[in-house]
Amino acid sequence: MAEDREILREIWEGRLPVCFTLATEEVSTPIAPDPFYLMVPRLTYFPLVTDKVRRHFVRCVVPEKHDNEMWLEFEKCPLKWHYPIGLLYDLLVTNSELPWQLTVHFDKYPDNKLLKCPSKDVVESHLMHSLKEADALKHKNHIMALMQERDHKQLWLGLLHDRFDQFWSANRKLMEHSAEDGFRYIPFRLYAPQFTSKPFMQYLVKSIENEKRLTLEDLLQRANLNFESKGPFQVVIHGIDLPLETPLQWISEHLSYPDNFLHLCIRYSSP
Amino acid sequence: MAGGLAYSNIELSIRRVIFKEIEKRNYREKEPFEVLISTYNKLFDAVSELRHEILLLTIQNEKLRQENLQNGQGTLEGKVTEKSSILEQKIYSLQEELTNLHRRKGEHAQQIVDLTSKLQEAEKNLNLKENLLSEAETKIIALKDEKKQLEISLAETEGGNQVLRDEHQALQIAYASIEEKLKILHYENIALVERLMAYKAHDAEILNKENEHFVKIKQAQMQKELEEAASEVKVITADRVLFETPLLSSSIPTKVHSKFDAHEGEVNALQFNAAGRMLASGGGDRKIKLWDIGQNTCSLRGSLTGSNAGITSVEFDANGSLILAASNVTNQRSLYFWVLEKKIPILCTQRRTILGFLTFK
Repeated sequence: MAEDREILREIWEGRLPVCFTLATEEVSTPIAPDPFYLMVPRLTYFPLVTDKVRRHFVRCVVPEKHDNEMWLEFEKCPLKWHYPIGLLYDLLVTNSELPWQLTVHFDKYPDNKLLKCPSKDVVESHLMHSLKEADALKHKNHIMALMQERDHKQLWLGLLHDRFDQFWSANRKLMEHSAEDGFRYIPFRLYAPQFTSKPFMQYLVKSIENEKRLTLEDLLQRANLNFESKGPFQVVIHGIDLPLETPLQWISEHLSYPDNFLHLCIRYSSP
Repeated sequence: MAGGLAYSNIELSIRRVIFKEIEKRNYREKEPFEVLISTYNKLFDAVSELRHEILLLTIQNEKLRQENLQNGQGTLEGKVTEKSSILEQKIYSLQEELTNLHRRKGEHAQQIVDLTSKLQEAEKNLNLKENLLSEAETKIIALKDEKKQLEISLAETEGGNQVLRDEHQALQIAYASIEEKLKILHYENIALVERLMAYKAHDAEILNKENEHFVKIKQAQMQKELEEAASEVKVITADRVLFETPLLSSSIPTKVHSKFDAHEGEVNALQFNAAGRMLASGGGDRKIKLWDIGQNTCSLRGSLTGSNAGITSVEFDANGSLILAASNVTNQRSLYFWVLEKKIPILCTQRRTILGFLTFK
C-alpha cells in the first residue's frame, strides 16, 4: 500500500493559489485594500480557510456589514461553499488561469443560489451527511453506523486542520472492502456543461459486474449521454485528466474527495 | 490469480499515468505559486506587524513630543526652574484651596453651633409642653373624681329629696284629713251648741212655766188662805212667815261651791266615787285628773296619763280602786283601765264607735 499512500498524499497535498479581492462597490475606505493571496488545499471547503481573508477585508467595509456572512464570487458566479475547492476550480475555470481571481462580498448574500453557512458546524454536518451517503452506497451504511463519535470527529478535525494522517487513520475504515467484491456501488457525482436543470448526475454503478472490473468508460456509457457528440472531452478530477480505462474501484479508493465521493467533471477542450 | 495480477499490471500503468498527471498539475498549479505566496504571506504578516509597530511608535513619539513641549526647549536648569515654578504654582493653588476649605469648615462649624442651639431650644419647648400636658392630665383626672363625687352627692340629695317629698305628701294628706275632721267637728260642735241652746231655751221655758204654775198655785193657795183668813180672823205672827219661805230656795243651788281650772281645753267627763270624796275628770288634753273634794276646796290628787286621744267618759268601780276611761279619735276609739295604785293604763279594746257613757257592772 506504499504507492497508494504516495498517491493519497499527493492528492491531499494538492494546492491552488487564490487571489482574493474585495468587491469594489463594497470598499468603504479611501484606499482599496490590497488583494490577499493564499494557497488553499484542493480538498477542503472555503469556509474552513477564509478566516484570515475575512479579517483582512472586514475592516474596509462599512461597520453595519461587519457581522454579515462573507461570500465569494468568480466571474459573476457565486461559489457554493459546500463544494470542495478543487471541484469548484475544475468546474468553473476553463482557461486554467492562475492564480485564481476571486471577489469577496459582504453584502447582498445570494440566498436563492447559495446555502447559508453561518458557522463551521454547518460544514461539519454537511461533510458527515455526505460521508453517510457514500457509505450507504458502498457498504449499506454499515461502517459509518459502526464508527464511534470519536472517529467522526477525527475525520472532521483532520480535514479542518489539514492533517493527512489523522484523517486517513479514520478514513481507511471507510475504504475497506473484500479483495474480490469491491464496493457495492461507486459513490460519484458527474458534472458536465450540458446539465442545466440540475447541477450534477448521480446513478448506481457497481465496481464489479459479471466478474469484470468496471472502468470509467463503463460509467460514462451508463449515463446514456453521448458525450463524444460534442467533441473531444476530458474527465477531470483533482485537476488531472483521468484515463477512461481506469478501474472504478481504484479511482474510488484513491481519488475520492474527503466526503468519499468522486466528483467527476466532463470538460470539453476549448475550440 | 493471473487475472488479478493482470489487473494490477494495468492498474500500475494507470497509476503511473495518473501520478505523472498529478506531477504535471502540481507543476502547473502549485509550484510556481507556492513559494511566491508563502513569501507573500510572510511579507504580508511582517507588513501588518510593522504597521502595528509604527502605530505604537508614532503614539509614543507623540507622547514624548508633548512631554518635550511641556518641559520646554531648554537645559536641565531651565527645566528645574520651570518645574519648581510649576510646583510653586501648584503649591499656591493648593494653599488657596486649603484656605477655602478652612473657611468653609468655619462656616460649617458655625452652622453646626446654630443648629445645636436651635435643637436645644426646641427640646426645652418640647419638655415644657410635655409638663403642661401632664399637668393638664392630672387636672383632668382630679376633675373627673370631683365630678364623680358630685354625681354621687347629687344622687344622694335627690334620694333625700324624694324621701322628703314623700313625707311632705304624706303629711299633707294627714293634714288634709285632719282639717276635714276639724271641719266636721266644727259643724258638729255648732250643731251641738244649737241643740244645747235649744234645750236650754226649752228648759228655761219649762222652768218658767213651772215657776208660773207654781206661782199661780201659790197665789191661788194664798188667795184661798187669805180668804180663809179673811173669814177667820186669826192672829198671825210675822216670824212664822219668814221660816216657811227658805224651804223653797234650798232645793235649787244658786251659787258655785268651788271653781278651779282642771284641763287644757274642754272637760268631757266627770264622775264622783262611791264615797263621794273624790272626783275624776277627763278632758281633751288626754288626761284624767283626780280631785279631793274638801269643805270649801278642791285639791289635785294626781293625774293619769297614757291615753292617745281625748277622754270622753270616766267611771269608778264600786270599791273606787279602778277607773275605766274611754277615748275617742276619728279613727281610733279606745277603752282604758287604770288601777289607781299603779297609775298605769291598761288598754282594753279599740272600737270604731264613739263611746259615750260607761258604767261598771
